[in-house]
Amino acid sequence: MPKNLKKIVAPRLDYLILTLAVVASVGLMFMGNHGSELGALHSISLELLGRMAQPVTAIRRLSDVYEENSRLRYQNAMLQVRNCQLAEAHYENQRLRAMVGFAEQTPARLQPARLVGAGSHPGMATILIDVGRLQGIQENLPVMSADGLVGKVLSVSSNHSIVQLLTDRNFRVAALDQRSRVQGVFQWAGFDSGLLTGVFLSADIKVGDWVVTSGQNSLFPTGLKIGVVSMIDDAHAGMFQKIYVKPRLDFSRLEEVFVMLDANAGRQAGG
Amino acid sequence: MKYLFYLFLVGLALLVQVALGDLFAVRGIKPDLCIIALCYISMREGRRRAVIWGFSAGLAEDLLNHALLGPGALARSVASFAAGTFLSEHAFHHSYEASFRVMGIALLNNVVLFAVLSVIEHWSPGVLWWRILFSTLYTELVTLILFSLISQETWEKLYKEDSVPFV
Repeated sequence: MPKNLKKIVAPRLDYLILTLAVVASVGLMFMGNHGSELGALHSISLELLGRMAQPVTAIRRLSDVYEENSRLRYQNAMLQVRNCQLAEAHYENQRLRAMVGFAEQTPARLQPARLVGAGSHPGMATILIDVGRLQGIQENLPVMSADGLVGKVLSVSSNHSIVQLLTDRNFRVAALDQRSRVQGVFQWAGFDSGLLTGVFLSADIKVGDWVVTSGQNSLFPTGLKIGVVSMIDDAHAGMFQKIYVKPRLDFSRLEEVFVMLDANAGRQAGG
Repeated sequence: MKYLFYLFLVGLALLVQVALGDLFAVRGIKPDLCIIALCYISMREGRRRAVIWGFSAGLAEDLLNHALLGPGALARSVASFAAGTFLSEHAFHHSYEASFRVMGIALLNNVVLFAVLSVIEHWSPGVLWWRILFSTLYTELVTLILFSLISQETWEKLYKEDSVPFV
């Protein structure tokens, strides 16, 4: 019997191995990545990836350092002026809040992080940053930069984390038009723009309006900048407007980001 | 010893692609160095062993990519089987002739991989085909550059002495 079996199997062994590999692959896909053993393996691979990417990123940054320096000097001067204006606005705000009896809000704690590599998965827009569990990072924490919302933490290892970017097609965030307070859901549409969906034709939206997080989604605080309305197409959109939103943030030049450690404490981010 | 070399080759291709890929990515698309390494192994070892190498490399890639396990393993297994079939049985006079077969293998790999990913990630058909074609052409460009570095003498030696078709 085994001899007969060998006779049958031997000429088809190539196909048998291929079938086994295909079945195993499909089986793994259906199992998903839920096991704790897989979690540990992912954590190790993330650490390995982070350590490999770090020196290369550091070398690459050296070439940009002069340009960045002059840009930062200019930005610093602008921020000094802006800071004075904001301080004035802050005191005015405090006085007005006291008048209407608003409770004081705690600002969110920000953990600075440096980008050590772009995500490698072909289907997802992600980045790898150099902070992890040891620095207090947890999954789903919002990630921002000076120019607004960057994304959210997708997975964490001891010293590194993967951030799902705003430009990932599966990323969704509750958003609103900062001027008219009309609410919708922001999602990436491809190339350089996202869409603010679920906004009725009658809603007051104008090109040039800022779109910010609405805080309806429990992950993100209110007021984080997402982008500016760049185009409105209400001709072929049925009941809803097709609102294109272009982020001001240049994701290809992203170097430093901030993880909001207690996003719920600072639900008013102040867009 | 040769298996250690293959392991080094696939490991290097994977690490360069996953960790340093963004250095040479164009609009997020990177050349598939791993499929080039797998084609080399398939050419030398035949399709039976190629499937095992392809499956293992794909699984390692899924793990390093921090993605759902399976799509990479599936695509690499199928592509390596095809590579073992179409690369190990023919003697090519020049390396560039083989490079066009590598393009076919890369295309097959990308069709399987991106078709699975498009279902999971909800890509539009336009995005799907753009990714498949651009990634394949970019891989072919890198293959041509790498193959042009191999001298004709080395190429003939690789093919005529050691290739083990259908084993």
